[in-house]
Amino acid sequence: MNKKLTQLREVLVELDATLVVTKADNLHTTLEKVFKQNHITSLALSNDTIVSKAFLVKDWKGSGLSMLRMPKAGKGIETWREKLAETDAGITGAVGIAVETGTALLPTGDPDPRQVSLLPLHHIMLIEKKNVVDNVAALFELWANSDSQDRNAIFVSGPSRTADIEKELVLGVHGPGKVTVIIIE
Amino acid sequence: MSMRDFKKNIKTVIAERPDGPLPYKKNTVKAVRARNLRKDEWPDFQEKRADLSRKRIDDIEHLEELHEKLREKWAANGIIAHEAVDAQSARETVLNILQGHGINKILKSKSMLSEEIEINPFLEQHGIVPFETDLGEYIVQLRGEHPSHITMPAMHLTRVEIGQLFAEKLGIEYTEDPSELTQIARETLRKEFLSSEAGMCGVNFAVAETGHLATVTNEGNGRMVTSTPKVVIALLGWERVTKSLGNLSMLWQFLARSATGQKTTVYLNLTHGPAPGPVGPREVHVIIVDNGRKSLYADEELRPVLRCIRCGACLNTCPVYQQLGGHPYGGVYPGPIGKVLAPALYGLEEAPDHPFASSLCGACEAICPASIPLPELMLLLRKRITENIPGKASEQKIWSLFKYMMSDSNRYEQATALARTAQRFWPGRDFPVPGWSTGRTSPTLAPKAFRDLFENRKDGGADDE
Repeated sequence: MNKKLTQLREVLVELDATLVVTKADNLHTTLEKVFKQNHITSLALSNDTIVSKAFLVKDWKGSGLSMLRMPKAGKGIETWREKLAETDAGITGAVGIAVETGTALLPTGDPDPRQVSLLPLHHIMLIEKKNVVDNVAALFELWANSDSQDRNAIFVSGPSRTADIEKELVLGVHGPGKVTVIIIE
Repeated sequence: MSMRDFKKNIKTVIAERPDGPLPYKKNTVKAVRARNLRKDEWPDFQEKRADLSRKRIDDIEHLEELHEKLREKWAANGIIAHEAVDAQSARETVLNILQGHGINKILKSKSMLSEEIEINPFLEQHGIVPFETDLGEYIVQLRGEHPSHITMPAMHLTRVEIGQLFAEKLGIEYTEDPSELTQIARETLRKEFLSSEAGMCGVNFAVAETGHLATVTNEGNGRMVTSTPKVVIALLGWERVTKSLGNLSMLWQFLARSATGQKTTVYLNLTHGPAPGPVGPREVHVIIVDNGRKSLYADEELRPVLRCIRCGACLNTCPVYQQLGGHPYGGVYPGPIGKVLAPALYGLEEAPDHPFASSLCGACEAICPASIPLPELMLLLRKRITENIPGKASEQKIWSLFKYMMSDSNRYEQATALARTAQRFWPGRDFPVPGWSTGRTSPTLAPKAFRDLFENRKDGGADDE
């Protein structure tokens, strides 16, 4: 593993998040392993390309994993949110991730998947290795060159947290308490 | 507690905490320590800070222009903009939006501006329930209090007090474990999120080049209220505008580092417009609140205070705040920034004691990411207050008398000789000086002045050595 990824791992550990690095060919096996380790049996999917590609229906037949996909326009929106809150994990892509701070930038599109990375207790992100950048400034630059600046966006640095009671750190307040970053080589 | 009663409030708070200023002291010192660690990580910290101040000054100097750009962007992005000259008009705008949709409950993420316009009691009067969702804000709302800090709303409370509060108000078994208390709040509020129709958030910065509304949050509630309800209302202080996403990147990092000592907050939520698909907000409103800010802008001497990014670092480092916590200041903004903002925003007569409650030690200016000259501004306000508030003129008289005495050596000698004699006959030799001699004894003046000793010295002086 190169220096950048080693540093990213350290930063993510500091944030109480987990880094997993995998070859593109092994993504399926890696995902299975992550799900098993974290007792994930239900999964909400965002609809970005990287996620759609990794979760083709035919590849996961018989896996026992229940998958919640984004609702198509007008269909089942009311029940989708309640189901979403009940899933074990939400999985999304990201424009990129900054090594210095462990910050990932989440794309949002149509339909808006912001809640997939928010309501379930565990958030898993898939990021291509070429989009691992040095710092937040570089992440903003990456975004500027991605033609997606005219959207809602979220920067995420680790699991949701609070220190509102005597400044003692507690993870998992309103957002996910667990974050797994999967870098695809 | 009211701002006018600052002095009285201090006595009340000290009497309530006979064991000393904890937990304010503990929590603030912790926060400063975390911030300093981050500062040391950047070898070019001071250059970055100077650059941030320049950016902030540049933004403030171009506010009118940036607002024009924002208007265009918002119109194109589908955000509905409203302007509110004062708190009353801001409150009414919120009410109109909610009543227009027949909504009677609104979930709020943390916003000091919403405290400033006192939206909660107003909505309650009109049958709408405001729900605070930030853990600290939720706690102070349950207690019926104002937050005591800009970024740590419940930092005046101990875990025992919070445990008792939850047991009493939520009917649960007593626990003082922060982790369990947080879990209880998560579950209680999650139900509200899933059924919410309207959300309200503050805006840390509006970005002129793209129209994004940036909201920072650690808990994720700021994301909840802007992405789950049908209608979103964002409150924007008129001066909280920045030119570009590049500026935002630095503002965000300085805000997190200064406030909590994190490298970034867990989330930076950027709202561009209503959700593009069927899931998420159908309507996004932004209310630009003036409430005295434009007159601060017009006042060139006070204008630098508009640079403030509300990180709360000046509160944490202030020796006065560390002893008092936030409530005695009254109003919404405590600590050094409050000592300037309170009289500047609400009028000198509303907070006449605020700028005086400082030793002008300069810790606030030294820690401020936007390098606001807070001690200088306190001095400026002191001058204005003594010149304009009748009850405050005595301080000015005392100092002009002091100046008169000190500017002539004969007058100085006569005055000190008089004081020396007077002290000999004064009961207990202790001069009563209001506000100063409580807890202090006057130093005993030497029986002979140094000048007399020097003039009558026997060895002829040290010059010949």
